[in-house]
Amino acid sequence: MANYYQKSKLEGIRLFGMIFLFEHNSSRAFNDLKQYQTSTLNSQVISTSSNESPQEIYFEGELTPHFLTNILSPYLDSLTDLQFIIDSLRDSTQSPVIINNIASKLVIDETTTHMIPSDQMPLIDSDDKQAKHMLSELETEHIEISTIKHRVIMSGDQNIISLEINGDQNQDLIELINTAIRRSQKLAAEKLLGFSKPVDLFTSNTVSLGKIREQAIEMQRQLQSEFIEINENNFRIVMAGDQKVTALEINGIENYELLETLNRAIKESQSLAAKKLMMFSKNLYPDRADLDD
Amino acid sequence: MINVSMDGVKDAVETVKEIVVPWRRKNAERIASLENTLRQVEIQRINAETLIAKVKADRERVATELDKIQGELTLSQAKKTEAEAALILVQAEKMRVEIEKERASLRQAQIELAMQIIERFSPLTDGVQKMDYVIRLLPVLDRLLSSEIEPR
Repeated sequence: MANYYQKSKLEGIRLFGMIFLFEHNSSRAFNDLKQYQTSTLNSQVISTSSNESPQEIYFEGELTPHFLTNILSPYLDSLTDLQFIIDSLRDSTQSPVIINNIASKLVIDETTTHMIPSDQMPLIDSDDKQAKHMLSELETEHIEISTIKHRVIMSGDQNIISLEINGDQNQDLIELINTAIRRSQKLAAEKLLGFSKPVDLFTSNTVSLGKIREQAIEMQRQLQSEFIEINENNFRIVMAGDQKVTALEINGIENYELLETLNRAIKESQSLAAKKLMMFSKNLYPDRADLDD
Repeated sequence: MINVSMDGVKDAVETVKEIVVPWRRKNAERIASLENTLRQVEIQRINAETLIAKVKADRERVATELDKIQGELTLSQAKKTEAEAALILVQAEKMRVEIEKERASLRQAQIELAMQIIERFSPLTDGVQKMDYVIRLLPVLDRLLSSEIEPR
């Protein structure tokens, strides 16, 4: 039972760490590509107008009617206004601003040509000494998030160590949140098992970064749509499968500030796990210079 | 992820990515703290208003109270509540002054941000023209900085 728990905990940490890494790596790869494209274009158009090529702009979010009307459209309007002021500053004629296309898109489309060998992906076996060492290191590393009213201390293995509300510790709430986190780790581990086919994320000889990210994003989407709800001792917590606390009630009253603090702590601990995962993979493949950052 | 393909906004997009977004990230904590303090002041104002309404009700009750001792008790309670409300209002006013100071400082930083953009595209613009551009840029920057989104 203890081994099963440790395995699901490791798998959960691994999945959240991997998702974090995919996001990190892909944005870096994407930025590299964009930088290359921009520098190439700059060198081509240096003596003419700088507005000849269409700009591909990426935003986080879902393309809902509300998002389009209330968030994206005003933003694009502001970009257009800024461009007009810049044109005026340069004494150049105002070029028409045209939207060619707005679409929901995965950035991985831009990077599917980047092939990475699967041995770059860290494999974790719960019986592995290094994996155990990594877990024990994560247990001892703590992150602290404080606001005026709240203070949360969380270990790298996603365990709440201390939770203060207006200076008072609340052990029952700590237990409750830790239970929710453990359940989310178990859920993530189950998802990871379910996703090991048809494309094995971590064991096929070569996999495209795009394919892996597609699956990781799909996993994240599925996790986001599943919820864990615990109702005990006048506390109610609802956590999505992707470890985001979506509701937190104390004596029937929502506490948004604590909810935000907890989410920040969880995100930080995921980032810590991701960094540890990178170091872990570097230890496994010490001669791989490409794993240096 | 949402992808927008646009013609004619290359400079604006680059400026946002290279100057505006870093500024926003650098000052995110200050902006959040300012908003938080604003909310606290609003809560204090509501608390003070509630206490003042209570004082008013207590004073009206005193006027119709037949029992003299009970009337005096209610009156002293009303005076105490009134003092509490006054204290809260003083605290709220102090916070409001601090908010105004911070708001002015952030505005100054935004003006510097606008100047940075002007310098980037037209370093030879004279002082008066610069101020004209700052005035045009500030509302645009306000909208970009307060948006929920930023380009990746």
